[in-house]
Amino acid sequence: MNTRRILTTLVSLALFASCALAAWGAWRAGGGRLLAKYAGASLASETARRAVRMSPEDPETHSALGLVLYNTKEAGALAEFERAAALRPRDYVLWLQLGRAREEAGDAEGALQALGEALRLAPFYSAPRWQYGNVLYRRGRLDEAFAELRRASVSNPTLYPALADLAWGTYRGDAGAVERVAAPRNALERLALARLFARKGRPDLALAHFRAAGEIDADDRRRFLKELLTARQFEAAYEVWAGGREDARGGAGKGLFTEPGFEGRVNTSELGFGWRQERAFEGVTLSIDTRSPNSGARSLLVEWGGHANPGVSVISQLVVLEPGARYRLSFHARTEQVKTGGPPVVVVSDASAEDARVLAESKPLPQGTAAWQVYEAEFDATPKTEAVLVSLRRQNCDANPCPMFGRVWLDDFSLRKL
Amino acid sequence: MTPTHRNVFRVAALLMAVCVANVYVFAGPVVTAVADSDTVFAPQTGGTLTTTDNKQVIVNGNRVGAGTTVLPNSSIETPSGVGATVQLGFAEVSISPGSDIVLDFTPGTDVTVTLKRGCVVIRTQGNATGMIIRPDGTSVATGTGKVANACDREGAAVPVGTAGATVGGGIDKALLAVLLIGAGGAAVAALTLAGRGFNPSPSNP
Repeated sequence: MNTRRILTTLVSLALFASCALAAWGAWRAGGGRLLAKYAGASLASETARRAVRMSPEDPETHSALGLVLYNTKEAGALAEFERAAALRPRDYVLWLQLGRAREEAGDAEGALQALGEALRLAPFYSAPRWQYGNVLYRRGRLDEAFAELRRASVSNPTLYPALADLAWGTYRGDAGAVERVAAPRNALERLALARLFARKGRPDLALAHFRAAGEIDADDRRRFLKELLTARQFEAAYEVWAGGREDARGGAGKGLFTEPGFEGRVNTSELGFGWRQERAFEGVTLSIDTRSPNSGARSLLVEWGGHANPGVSVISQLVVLEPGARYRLSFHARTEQVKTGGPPVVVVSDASAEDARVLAESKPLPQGTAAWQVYEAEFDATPKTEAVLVSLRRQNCDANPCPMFGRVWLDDFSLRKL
Repeated sequence: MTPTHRNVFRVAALLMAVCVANVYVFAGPVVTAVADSDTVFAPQTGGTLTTTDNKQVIVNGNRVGAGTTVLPNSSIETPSGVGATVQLGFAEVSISPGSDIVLDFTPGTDVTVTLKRGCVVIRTQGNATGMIIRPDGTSVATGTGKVANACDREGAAVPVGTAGATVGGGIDKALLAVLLIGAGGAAVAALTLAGRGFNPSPSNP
């Protein structure tokens, strides 16, 4: 009986001791991690060293110390990264970290070796491959580099635009080389390439890739359209815009207004080539009026209730036209109780020119009340004019502020090539 | 099994629970980012981007992370909370969070930063020169000190690195207090349980 009790006591004590040992080990490991985490966030090198002393066999503490030394430019960072990778050689993140550190320390071959190990451990992850490709690139091994970068972009498609951009910069705008290196394989990649070419002033290539992309969603189409408009690639932009509309006009749409008589759906907030209100102004109201249009069933009614700034565009439309040609703009308007020192006018400005210079201006709409009448203005598109902006605004006043009251109806806009 | 032995096992079980809880609580990932540069530079055809915690910044309109190559005449935008550094070999360009710049350089010779928004610092080596052009058109050159820094407005904080945290020392006191209180509580609980086991007249029969 005594022997059994002694044995039980011994077993209990052994169990207790092993648990205490495990708790102590866990305390040290946990404490080391805690200190390492804090040191990594605060760049406290002494705390990081304490973490390593507390848990010397933990790669995380060495990694954290390496990071802190790296950022505080103290010596020994690389050795800590090496130690971390050696302690946990199957962790690709540690090899990735070591690769970056080696490259920035000037050891490109060592970096490639470490990143190669990261690649071996995580062959389908984009991060090590992207890093590996970039180091190869900076070593001047372009063919290998682009092959790796391309593979990384297959794993992570968000890297593809950066790859295409790097190719453009590397081959200095050689579109053929960019297409060869970037080798688009699906609609998203083609669209990314189209956007790159649009930004770089190659609308022909942008459109070619856009067409090849096939069906793309409305958001992507809108983003691409915005880039084309920002780059003033109006013909290409028109094709992209029209392709997304059920009521798209046939042909290139040159010299044609969208909804010239306001008879169909007018969405003034939509980007593109329809009627647009850049921003709403207090004291100016736009609406479609079905009472007494000049023709058809509807016209645009603009009501001024004291808006004071004559220089702003109330409503406008981009119209693609033939460069170098002469055009005549015509529209119909009527007024009611208009009272202002700066009467409304319709202005044609060159959308292709950076300064958006005015090409033509209609005669001012009359004060008071006047029935429908036609207004015209002729202008010459410059050889570089791809599109004009036709906008309703007001003539400047002598007085400032320059309020306006009254109502104006507009209808039947048209451009005729002379 | 005697009450004493049962209580020994209870204490052992508690210790085991504590040690498992320790590992569970502290096993979160450590920040593993490589963020700033070391002191040795190698000649290279493009710059190397590093960012705070390897987070993404926008280069030429594309979201990219640390390690990406930056070519001459590139635009770089950093979101708020994410700084970036471009190592050019002959120079280092540090960009503060929330900045927008255009970086141009001739390898080994000169670097020019056109600052649109935020703050930037250029540090050059050897005979290389650096210049920052501010939004108002004025410029700052590296000069003999080999450092130039500028912000888009007076009093803005210039970047100090890409680690994303200010340099500090010592452990977070609140966290340490929680840790000590937790450990103390566990010890008290263990001792209470063990002590109850040795009571020859337990309150419950």
